[in-house]
Amino acid sequence: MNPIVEVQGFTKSYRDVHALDNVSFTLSENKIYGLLGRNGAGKTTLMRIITAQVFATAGTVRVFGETPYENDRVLRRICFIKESQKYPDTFRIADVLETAASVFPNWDRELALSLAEQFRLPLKRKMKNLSRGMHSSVGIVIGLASRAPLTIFDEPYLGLDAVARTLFYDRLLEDYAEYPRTIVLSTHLIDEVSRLLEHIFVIDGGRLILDEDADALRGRAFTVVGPAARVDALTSRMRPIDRTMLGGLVSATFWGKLDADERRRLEAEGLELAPVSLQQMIVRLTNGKFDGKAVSGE
Amino acid sequence: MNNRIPGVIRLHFRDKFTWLYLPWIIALLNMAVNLLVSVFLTETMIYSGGIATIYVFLLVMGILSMNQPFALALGFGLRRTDYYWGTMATAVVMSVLYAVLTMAFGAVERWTNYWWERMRFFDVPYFNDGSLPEQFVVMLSFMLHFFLIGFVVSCTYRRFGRNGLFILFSALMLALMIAAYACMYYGWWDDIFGWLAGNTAFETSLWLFLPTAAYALIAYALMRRTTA
Repeated sequence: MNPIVEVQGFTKSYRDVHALDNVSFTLSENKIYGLLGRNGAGKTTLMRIITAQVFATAGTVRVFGETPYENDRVLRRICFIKESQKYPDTFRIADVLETAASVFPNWDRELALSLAEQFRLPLKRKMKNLSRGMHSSVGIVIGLASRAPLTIFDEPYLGLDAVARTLFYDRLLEDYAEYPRTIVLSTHLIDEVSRLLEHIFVIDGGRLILDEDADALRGRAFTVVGPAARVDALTSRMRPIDRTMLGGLVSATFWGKLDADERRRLEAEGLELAPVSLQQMIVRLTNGKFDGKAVSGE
Repeated sequence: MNNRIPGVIRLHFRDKFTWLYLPWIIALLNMAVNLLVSVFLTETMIYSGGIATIYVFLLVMGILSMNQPFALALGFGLRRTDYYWGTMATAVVMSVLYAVLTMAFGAVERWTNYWWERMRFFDVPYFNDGSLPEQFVVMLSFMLHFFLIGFVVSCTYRRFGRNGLFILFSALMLALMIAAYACMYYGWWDDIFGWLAGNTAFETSLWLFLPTAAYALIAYALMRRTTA
């Protein structure tokens, strides 16, 4: 696996506030990463430093093996879609797409037009007159149609309804299967994207507090579902990290890994094993620092 | 190998209305008002020189081009350097076009004997005194000068924020005041005005390229460290 991005000791300070505090990580080729964290955790700052839009106070970054600052060989292989992107007041959607076409070397015009149609984007409308959701959709169209080897989506679906979000996930996976690339999804909505993610970073208060493979993460805990009496017999032996009641059924989540024997024994007792939601795991692992609730809107 | 600069030029020309039509709509409206006034002043010819709006327009474009288009270019992963050269190329191309158009309107103005002896709008004494190539250089020089004033001010704002502009303009005012007092004290004013009056517009416009180049250098240094 080739490292696409190598970040060493990123720190970004504004006077006495640490927006980022000694962050280090590596991104490999052709994987989908989740960069999770609450609003203001430092996600956008981190992505903006990687793309050389702002400068780190300390630390180094290499993208495609080189420094990204004013480096066209690196920058032309990145597409960074940020929620806060500003467009000229006079630009219509069509102008933005045309500009993207002349800037991104792998731009697929047909894909862009078909996506724009699916997201119901009025090409002749001015960017400044778009709703929040349409604004986000334009970013998604650019991010997908640019087919950049490193594609970063920063809060890509603010204001999008469920249909449009599902459309985004489906088209992303579809195009990713056909044209593999490294994708970073930065968001505070874990649940919806969890099925897409192969590797997860959690950032809180400017610090990287989790850096783990998504499957490994899921394997670190298990959930048992069954009649209350049976599950409670189990919880008297092991302390659950989570317990919820659903009618007569109780679902309890435990730390640890089950081997095949234990698995069979539990199933023989009439208990059902269910996968743990990534959201639950992350809330636990970050000691509740990440509550994963949608803080929508702003 | 690098084909990003044309991308920047295309980015600017996406806004055709502002670059191509807006300055001439302003200029021609201005001219219409002047002509109307001249109808009531039958005795005298007006030396309007209203075409000065085009220079103000370039100043404004210099300020604007470091704002929204720059944010988009940086967001799309263009280098600051490429944005700089693309924007400079756009400014030169547009200034050439505006200069040629001004001269064309000026020709019509002379051919109609200054709109039937009512006013001089495009073709002004002193400014349009030289040969045609000289007039062209005069206009080009002044246009680029104004564009770059706007551009360098905007770069300062981008790099150092509002306080940066306050400090810059305070320092500039102070420097100009001290210079003015020095000129008064040592009696340099006569020499300066004498030199300016002795110059043709063409000679002055050649000198003007010096400060223009200085703004360009400063702007480049500033924008290399700007963020979006």
